[in-house]
Amino acid sequence: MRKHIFIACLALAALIVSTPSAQADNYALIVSAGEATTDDAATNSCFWYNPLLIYQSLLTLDFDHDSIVCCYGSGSNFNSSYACYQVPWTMADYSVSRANIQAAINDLAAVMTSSDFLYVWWMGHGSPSGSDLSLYLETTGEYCYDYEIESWLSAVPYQTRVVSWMTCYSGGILDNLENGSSVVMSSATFYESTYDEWLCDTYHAEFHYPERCAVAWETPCGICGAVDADTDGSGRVSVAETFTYADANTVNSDPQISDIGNIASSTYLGTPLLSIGFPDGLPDLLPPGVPYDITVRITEGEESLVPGTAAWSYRDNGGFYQTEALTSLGGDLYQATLPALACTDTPEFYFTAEGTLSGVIHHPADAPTEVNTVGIGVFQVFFEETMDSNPGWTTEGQWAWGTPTGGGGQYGNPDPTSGHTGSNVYGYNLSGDYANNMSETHLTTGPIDCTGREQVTLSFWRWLGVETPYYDHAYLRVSTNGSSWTTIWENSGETTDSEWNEIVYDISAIADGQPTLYLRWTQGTTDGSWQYCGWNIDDVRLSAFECEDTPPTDTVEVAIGCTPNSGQLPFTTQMAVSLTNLTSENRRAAGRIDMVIANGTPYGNWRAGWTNLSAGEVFSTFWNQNLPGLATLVGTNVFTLTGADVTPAPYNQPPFAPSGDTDTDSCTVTATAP
Amino acid sequence: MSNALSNLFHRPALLAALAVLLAVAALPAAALADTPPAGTVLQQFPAPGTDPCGLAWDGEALWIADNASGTLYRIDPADGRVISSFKTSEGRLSGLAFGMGRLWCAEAASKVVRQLDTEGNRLGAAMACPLPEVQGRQPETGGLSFHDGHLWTGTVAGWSSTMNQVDPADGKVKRSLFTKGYPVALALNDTHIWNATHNDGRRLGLVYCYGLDDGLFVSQFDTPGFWPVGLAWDGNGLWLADRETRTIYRVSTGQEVVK
Repeated sequence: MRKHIFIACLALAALIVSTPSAQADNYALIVSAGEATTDDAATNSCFWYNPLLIYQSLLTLDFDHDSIVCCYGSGSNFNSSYACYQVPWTMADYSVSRANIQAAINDLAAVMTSSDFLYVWWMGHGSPSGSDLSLYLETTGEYCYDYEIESWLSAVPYQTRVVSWMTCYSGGILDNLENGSSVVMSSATFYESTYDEWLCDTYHAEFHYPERCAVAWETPCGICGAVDADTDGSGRVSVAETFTYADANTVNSDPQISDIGNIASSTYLGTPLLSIGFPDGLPDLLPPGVPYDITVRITEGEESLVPGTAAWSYRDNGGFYQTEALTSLGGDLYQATLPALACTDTPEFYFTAEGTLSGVIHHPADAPTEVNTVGIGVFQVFFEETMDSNPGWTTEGQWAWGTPTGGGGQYGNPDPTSGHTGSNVYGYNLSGDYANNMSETHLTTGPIDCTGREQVTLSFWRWLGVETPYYDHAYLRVSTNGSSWTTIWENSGETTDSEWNEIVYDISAIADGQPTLYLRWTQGTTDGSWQYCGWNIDDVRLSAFECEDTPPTDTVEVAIGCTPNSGQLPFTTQMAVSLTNLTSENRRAAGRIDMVIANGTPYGNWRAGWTNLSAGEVFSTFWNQNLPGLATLVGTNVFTLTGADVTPAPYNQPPFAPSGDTDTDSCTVTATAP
Repeated sequence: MSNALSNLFHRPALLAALAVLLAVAALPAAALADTPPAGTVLQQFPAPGTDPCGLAWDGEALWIADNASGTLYRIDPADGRVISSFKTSEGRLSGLAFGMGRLWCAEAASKVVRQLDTEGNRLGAAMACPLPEVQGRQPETGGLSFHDGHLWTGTVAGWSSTMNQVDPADGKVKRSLFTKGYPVALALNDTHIWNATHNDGRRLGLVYCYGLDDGLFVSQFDTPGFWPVGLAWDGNGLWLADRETRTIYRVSTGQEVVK
């Protein structure tokens, strides 16, 4: 049964039941007015990829197939060769035509109420028609107009509406759909074209792609990693944050937003329930030996936090998770503290809170299957050329070290007049543009020793002008033998830098552990016309991940006393321990009993409690230690009670191995067997 | 014999039509199956120069530009031999067409169409390419073609990319069709219009075919190279120039009649 028939049935049911105060539901209209006919093709493939991506994202946001009405191309799924752009269900309820778009809108009008949420998403061709926006429907050759969309949508009741529109001249839709209950976003002004670009894995609609990434918190297909558009750390991405992220990642046009009711920052796709966020983010990398405070924000939406349920679970190097309550910082903020960690540690943690409607929620959402981790170590620069003096690299053609003169710029921009730092750079023709009809011309470093280096990363500052690769070329390549080269980057479009830009590449797959690494910047080939300023590079650095446990810098003083220090077994002695001079790390105090009983048998036993100590904290405590009335004891026995400061260890799991600067103190107890 | 049949056999034109239908029906299945798939290379030869661009058909021969040397070449379609050539003072071209007995050249930088005679002399005034006036990223000139008394220009402007039917007398746009991909090369016959597009070197280029009457997409095929730069219809078949392979191809549209 097609979904729109089902929706019509829903409408009928709604009429029969006639429940006026139904809970707000989420609905969406998705229209992709083009049609994909092949993968990886410009201004083609994205007409399938992007509606599918937003459709899938909505399914994770309290929408379902029956609440999304989709018009796509001729109505059939595009048979992508990529698994992640295939779905077993039919995405389109309708093919795209004027009549079908109206039918889709009518479906929504039949089931929606004035308490519902409506999301309208459109992509396709657009063009100006006087002061109106004309929308082209590729599969039928029909047109419809912005005022018609306005009229058709006026039949759909809603409480809040979010419109995301990507066509050329899409700014023209704003005045048609804006009102105090709507946020209307467009990919461009009414005076601009809009574009698709190769983004991450293939061609994507340049505005809709980051919009979807923001909503989904990730790039598609698990290829280009996570996306965090949650600038206020609320744990949810508002429409305003979505737009900000999409705007920042749209380079070929100037996205617009209409938010008359000032609701974008408090409007979300999907029902806002309890959420866990991190105003300061979560760390990816921490230096060893330093504790780290994580600020947690638990935001209540249409449900409340069950008091006392904000918690986090932590473990290191496997084992069982310890769950502790988060420390309240007031309001919706809480704190968890990662202990000082060593290089070999593998901390894992997740957060939980219980909502009055949704039950226990986790961060990450599928914890503990997926958990947060953090690397222990730092990136250290092990190779650096600031170009203040001539590095003496191998040059060809007009590659030269020196001060650029600001010349050239027949097309694009001229060269800089100095380095990013200092005066000098390596550049191709420091006095002007590169030449026409060049062959590939290289600047090559000498060998760089990467032995023992891990996660090698290259960074440098670039000022580059080069024509589209249709005509001219610029490359960055690396090699481990100076003869076979791997291209790290090549120009994918026209590049016209007008300022220094820092460029960073992960070259670990090639460089890690290699005794020789060569870097090569290449100018050319070029064609017979249009010259640009070419490469200018400065401040070249290689860094690698390193971790070295630093010994504690504090000087711990441990004092222990045993009271009484003699008696007849069994009896109790009080072991008092104090630690002072803690200055820099999280430590624990422990007590230990060691004794040699009268028959010469060693006897050891961990006892006593322990506690976490923070830097600067003075610790003083005592334990009442029962000395055992062991049947084997005869005569006089000497117990040695030792107090020590130790590094953190799993709960109640001796031995507490001391590290770095430690101190111990002991007292003895003489015990006489009865 | 019914009256209807009797009438039929007294009309020679209808009889001829019937004969043609029967003849087509009688074609061996193997002959139809031999129609090469769209995109099949039927013929190829090297393009002159190192930066070929544009492709045009003057009724007997092909024309192609070399942007590296600023030269226009007339090419024998039988073997690719250069019949004649001349240097031009025009800038880099994005498209080339032949119509009304003259060459039409779309110049990328100045975004004008110039008319040249077959010896390279300028004719008339330059005509501004019909590009949309937009803010932000500016549109670029694309391919060029001439058909049925009209110039067709390609506009490369993201999702506003179009093929435009232009009155050669005054440069006014009579009709615009949205394209898939970038219309960097155009060709037309009486029923179809093709645009070739590169995909920024990410995959092979593509040729898209649309109905000339309605502008609706009909079919597509991959080009032999990554950077198609010219298309031309010679009255019977489609020619394609590729910048990456520096080669001129005659390619099947998948619609050829097997003779």
